[in-house]
Amino acid sequence: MGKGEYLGEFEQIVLLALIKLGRNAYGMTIRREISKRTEREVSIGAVYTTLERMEKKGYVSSRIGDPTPERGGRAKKYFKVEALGERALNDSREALLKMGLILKPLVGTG
Amino acid sequence: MKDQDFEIIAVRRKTGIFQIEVNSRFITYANDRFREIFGYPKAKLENMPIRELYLDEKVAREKVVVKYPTSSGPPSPSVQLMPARLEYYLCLFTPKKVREHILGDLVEEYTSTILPKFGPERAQRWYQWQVFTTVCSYLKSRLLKVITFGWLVYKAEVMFRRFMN
Repeated sequence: MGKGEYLGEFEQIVLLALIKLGRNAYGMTIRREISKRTEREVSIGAVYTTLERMEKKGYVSSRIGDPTPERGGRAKKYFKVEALGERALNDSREALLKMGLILKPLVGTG
Repeated sequence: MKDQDFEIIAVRRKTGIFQIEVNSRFITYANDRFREIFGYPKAKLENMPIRELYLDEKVAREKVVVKYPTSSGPPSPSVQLMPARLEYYLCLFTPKKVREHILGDLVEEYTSTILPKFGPERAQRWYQWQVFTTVCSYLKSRLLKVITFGWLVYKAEVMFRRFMN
């Protein structure tokens, strides 16, 4: 895995939220899921910029839903994690875990 | 499902967006979405006077077909409280391809969760904050692109000068 393929913290959080939400993953639900789980306020813009970036890399894909009246006639954009995204997520988490194992004895000796 | 009749008061055209006033509330559309709903060809839409658009049957039909079926009732006061100016800023600073989805997500969360939970005053502040942070997110990513491009140009110039010397 190349250097550039590791995911940032927020990218990992967004991907995990997508996996958790499954077929119901769109802007509002993703934002709410992240806010609920991480207890930090996230803007819808931050979620969309991250999703757009990951879509360009092929980590996620999107499809447009039907317009609904409660959204003022606007359509939802649903997102799904792709195999490439799952792999990048696993690799990033694995790398962090490995770093954790290296750090463990250092913390003990301090 | 029977549709309820609503009066369209005005149609406003601004840079890149259209706003239709229905029962004291402005509904904002990106130009592309507006064309999609009303079926105007691009060239015709851009040259059409607002008054003609306002009187057009397609716009009148949209008010009863797409927006508010009787079962869900008239636009609630909550929806009317959403500031149109903020929608305009959001449309101005966000890319076309996600504009409609971001607006839809904000409207849905505002009406379904935030307003019933926190009341109109806090809900308005929440909406303002969401628009502000969303605009900041997009401005930040644009700024980063400009800085990266500038840095690359600077590096290329330095290398070129070294090469020439």
